[in-house]
This record gives sequence, structure tokens and C-alpha cells, in this order.
Amino acid sequence: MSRLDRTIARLQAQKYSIEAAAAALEKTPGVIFELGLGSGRTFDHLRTIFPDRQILVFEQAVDTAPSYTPTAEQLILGEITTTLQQAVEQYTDSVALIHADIGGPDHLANAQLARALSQHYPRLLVHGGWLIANRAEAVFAGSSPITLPNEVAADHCYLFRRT
Amino acid sequence: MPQWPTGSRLERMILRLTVQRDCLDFVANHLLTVPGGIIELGLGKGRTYDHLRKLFPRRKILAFDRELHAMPDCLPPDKDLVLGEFTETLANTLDLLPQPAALIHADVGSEKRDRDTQLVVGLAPLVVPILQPGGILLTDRPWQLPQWQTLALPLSEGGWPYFGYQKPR
Repeated sequence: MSRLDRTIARLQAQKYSIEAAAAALEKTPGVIFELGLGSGRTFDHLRTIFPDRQILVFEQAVDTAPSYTPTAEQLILGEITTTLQQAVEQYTDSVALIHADIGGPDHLANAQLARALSQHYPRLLVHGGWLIANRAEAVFAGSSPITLPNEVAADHCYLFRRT
Repeated sequence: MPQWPTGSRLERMILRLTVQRDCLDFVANHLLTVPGGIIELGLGKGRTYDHLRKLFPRRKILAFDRELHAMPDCLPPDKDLVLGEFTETLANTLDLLPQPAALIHADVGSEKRDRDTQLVVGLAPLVVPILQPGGILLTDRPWQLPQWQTLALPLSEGGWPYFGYQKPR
């Protein structure tokens, strides 16, 4: 597999996972958390697929084109470990979907970050709410894994539901 | 002007990368009997460069870009990397390749499509002499190359546009 193959598989996995979440969560109210904005690709897909939901984007520093930059109301700037913790009280049992695509080239640091953030997911997510994560370490207490059709390449998206 | 698909940034990226992979795989089969190296014009993150070196493990691949933005695992060796304005760097290509190239992949488009049109008009006379007869220019923007054969690429309905031109033998 080339880097091109792997990128296509990863982006397709993100797209199918977000769309599967939209179908499953149709009758589950709640806001959407995007952890990590990056170039704004999945943020743009989330706001397309969930036009009527509030989306909150957590990001340390925005570096994307203006058309994919969240509005001031959608954006929570700062160190994500800190800002997510601060959001727990206000958004307890209020989040229908968390999409967590975070981290840089350091795999060990990414795993630690995924674990640090995942401690907040049980309080944030509504019952039945979904987590779509780029790392298996994002698994959280009181969750069950979600298996999607095989078009979603393994190793690209890890999905869990709050039971 | 070609029609670019609408959709979210995620969907458009999937369509763009997929058409690049499909077209690179397609032209690789066309070039089995055409000698020469490969030129990646517009290295970017290095994704298609990485695909090219897997498709053409025995050919020399030169990568050009204005500035280096490639990911660490997609970096060409220094001797195969040429940085600077294409209009200046392309003129010296034949010093770096033992013979004209079999394939030029020109991934040069930007969000400023009018400017891209100007760019490829300027690049065309530089590209013509550095391709083998029978060699292919694969590109993300339409080029004006009279007498060259337009390739029927494996494009899908509603997909991302891509363009292939074969130099007369």
C-alpha cells in the first residue's frame, strides 16, 4: 500500500463512519464534538451531514482555509485536554457524536492523548451516543464497539457506542 | 473549463485522490514499452510520489516543487528533488535524467483556476522536449497540446476531472 492508498482508505473510512453515525443517531438528540480541526475536511462533512445540529470544534490553533474555518460560536480554541475537560460540566449527557481525529507523527504521544481525552467521553455522550476515533486507545468505560460494513477499512476508524 | 464535483471537502479529497490512483495505475500499464524516468511535477505531501515509486520501482523519479511540504515517509532523496519555480527548474531537467521521461505527472492545480490555466500555458513548451515519443503527460488541468493524443482515462461519472496526453511517436 502506498501513502496514496492509505490516505484514500482513511478518508473513506471517515466518510462512511460519519454517515453511519448520522443514520444511527437520527432520533438521538445532541450536539456534535469535532476534536481536532486539521484542514477542516471532516468538519465540512459533519456540517453537511448534520445541518441542523450544533457542532463544536476543539482545536489548539486553526490553520485552514477561511471557507472551512468554524464560526466563533463553533470554535473552542486551546489545548484540547484542557478545553474538553472544561466543557464536561456544560455538556454532560449532551453530546450525540464525538469525532476524534487528533495527534501528530508521535504515536506514543497520540495514544496517551487519546486515553487522556477518552476519560471524559462517558460523561459527555448521551446514552447511545457514538465515538468515531482514529485510535483504538480512545475506547472508554461503559462503551461497546460498533462494527460497520467492511467498506470501512480496519485500522482507520474505531467506533464505540455509549451503552 | 472542466466540471469539478461539489460536495464536502472530505468527499472532494476522496474523489481527487481516487482519480489520481486510478489514472496512475492506468498509465503505468501504457508505459511498459516506453523507456525513461518519471517526473512528479508538484510533489505536495508526497502521496502520489509514494504511489509512483511503488508502481515504477526500477525507474528514476524526479520530484519538483516550489517548496518542500512532503511528509517524512514520502520524501525523495536529495538528488531526485528539485525545488524552485517550475518555469526555471524544468529547463535543466535533461541534465538530471539520462534520457527524456516516460511520464510526467503534473499535479499543479490550485484553487485559483484562472491562474492555473496561465501556468500550464507557460509549462507546455518546457514539457514537450523532456518527454519520450509515446510518453504521457498526466495532469489535473487541461493542457493545449495540438497533435498529441488525448488518452481515454478511467474516469467515473461525477468524479474528479483528470487529463492525459500522449506525445506522438
